[in-house]
Amino acid sequence: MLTLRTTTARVTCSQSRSNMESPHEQQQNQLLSRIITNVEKLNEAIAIMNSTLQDINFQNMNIELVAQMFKNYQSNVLFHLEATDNLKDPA
Amino acid sequence: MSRNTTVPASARSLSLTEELEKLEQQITLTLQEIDSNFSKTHRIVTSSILPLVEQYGEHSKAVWESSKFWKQFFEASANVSLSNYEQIVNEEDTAHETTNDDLTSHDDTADGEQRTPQRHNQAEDNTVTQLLEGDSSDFQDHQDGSFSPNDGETLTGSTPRPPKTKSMNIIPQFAGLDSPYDLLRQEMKTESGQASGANDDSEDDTELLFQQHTARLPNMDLTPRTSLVPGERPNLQNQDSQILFSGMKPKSQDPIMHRILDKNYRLLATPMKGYTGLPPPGVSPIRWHVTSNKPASPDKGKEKETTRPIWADSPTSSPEIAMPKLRSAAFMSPVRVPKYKSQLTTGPRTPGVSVQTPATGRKTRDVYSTRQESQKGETPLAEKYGQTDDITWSDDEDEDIYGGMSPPKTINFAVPPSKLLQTPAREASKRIVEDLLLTAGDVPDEGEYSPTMVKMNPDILDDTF
Repeated sequence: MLTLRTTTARVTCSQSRSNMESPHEQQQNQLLSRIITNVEKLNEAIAIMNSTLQDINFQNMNIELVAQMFKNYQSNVLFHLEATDNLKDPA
Repeated sequence: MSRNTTVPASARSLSLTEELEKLEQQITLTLQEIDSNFSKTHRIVTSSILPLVEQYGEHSKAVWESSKFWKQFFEASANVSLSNYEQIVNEEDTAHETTNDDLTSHDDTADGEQRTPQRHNQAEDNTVTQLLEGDSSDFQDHQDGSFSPNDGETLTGSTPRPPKTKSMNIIPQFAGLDSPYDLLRQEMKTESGQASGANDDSEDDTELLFQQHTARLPNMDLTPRTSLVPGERPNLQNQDSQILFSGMKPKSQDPIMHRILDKNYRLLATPMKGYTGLPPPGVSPIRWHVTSNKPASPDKGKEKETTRPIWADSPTSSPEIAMPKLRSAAFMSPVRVPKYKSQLTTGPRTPGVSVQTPATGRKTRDVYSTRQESQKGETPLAEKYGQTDDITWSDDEDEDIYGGMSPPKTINFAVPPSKLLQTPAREASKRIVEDLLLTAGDVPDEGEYSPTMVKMNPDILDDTF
């Protein structure tokens, strides 16, 4: 997004230099400003989303921990049952 | 001619202007498209993605609420408290990262997107490793020990069963595996297999293997990565597992849970000190094993204490947390014969009541000793007064018997200071127990209160304090 913004700014500069009298200039400038506004809004939205996701991920690390612990426990139990020949087929 | 020449020129210029116009229109159209795309993106993000993310957050919160108990459960069982913390990547961590990059390049995962999950899985694996057993096979040994307490295996043995290890040794490290988790799991097993395989020839005792393992690991920790075999994967996990196995406090090298941008999310496992929420010893066979193996091999036990992994550091494994006994030796005089013991036990079983005052115990002992002396010597006191032993005991509380005692006997009651010094401790402990019992609702036996004892107590206390 940042690169896009810089390219659009460059385009604006070159256009303003070369097509000063062009009837499209105003329209393009308006379009560019609209684009910039939209990008800013999008940036904000994405920043909000990122922070939300970060919080959620931080919270989910505990869940992940529990899941991993259970997974390990399950593998250990499996190993033990296999080693002691106590593993039975599920009913 | 000139017209002819100018006409095409003007036509060309016209066409150029048209072309410019066309270009301008195209640019405008493109800009419009870009604008619409951005607005569309913004709309999608705000209208559909963000609510979904919030919903996801709520759901994951609900999941965490449900799984919170299990985290506490595992924490309590491992006697560690786990917490995530955020660490901004600094220079210290760059070495860490380079090894990761080496690792990933080794895995031919040049794509940066694949690198992150790789690390992520590693970190997860390490985390779990630390949390439960350090090594899955390690915990399997724990399990085995707990289920078959009679075999000689110790719980802290880090080596998997010999057949398994041998087979794992054969498995190549770089075999094509489905998931990175499997790969790392396999690798960990292979590592432990190598460690055990080297030691298997010498002895099969898993405890000794564990000692060697733990003894080796800190050394490995100190060796730089360059000392590793070139073909071997220098992995981060190795280091982490070493730290975990050795039970050393990692130097800010806690296992990484996630790596997001310039932040590392690490897992901090702190052993719980003075944790009292554990079930009493004897409930967990694992802990029994740890404690029961100590006396058998004191040296090993010492070494184990120093190198024990943090999750194995449970209060019950240390001898100092023995459960307090209500009837301790303080209440049981060694001189007492079964007759007196039976008399003591016929009363309230509780020590506070049976030994109401220190004077009683001491008196009875003294009386008994005098009785012994007298039995050995010339004339027994009881016989002198025509009394049996039992009557002597019962009359012990009576003042008359003391008043009628001969001077040598009375001297016996004036106990030496060494015995007096022992008295207040007994007195204090008895009183504590008595208070406890009173608090618990036990009614003290009033019959044991005698004026003699009540009278004698302050004297003794005054002498000692």
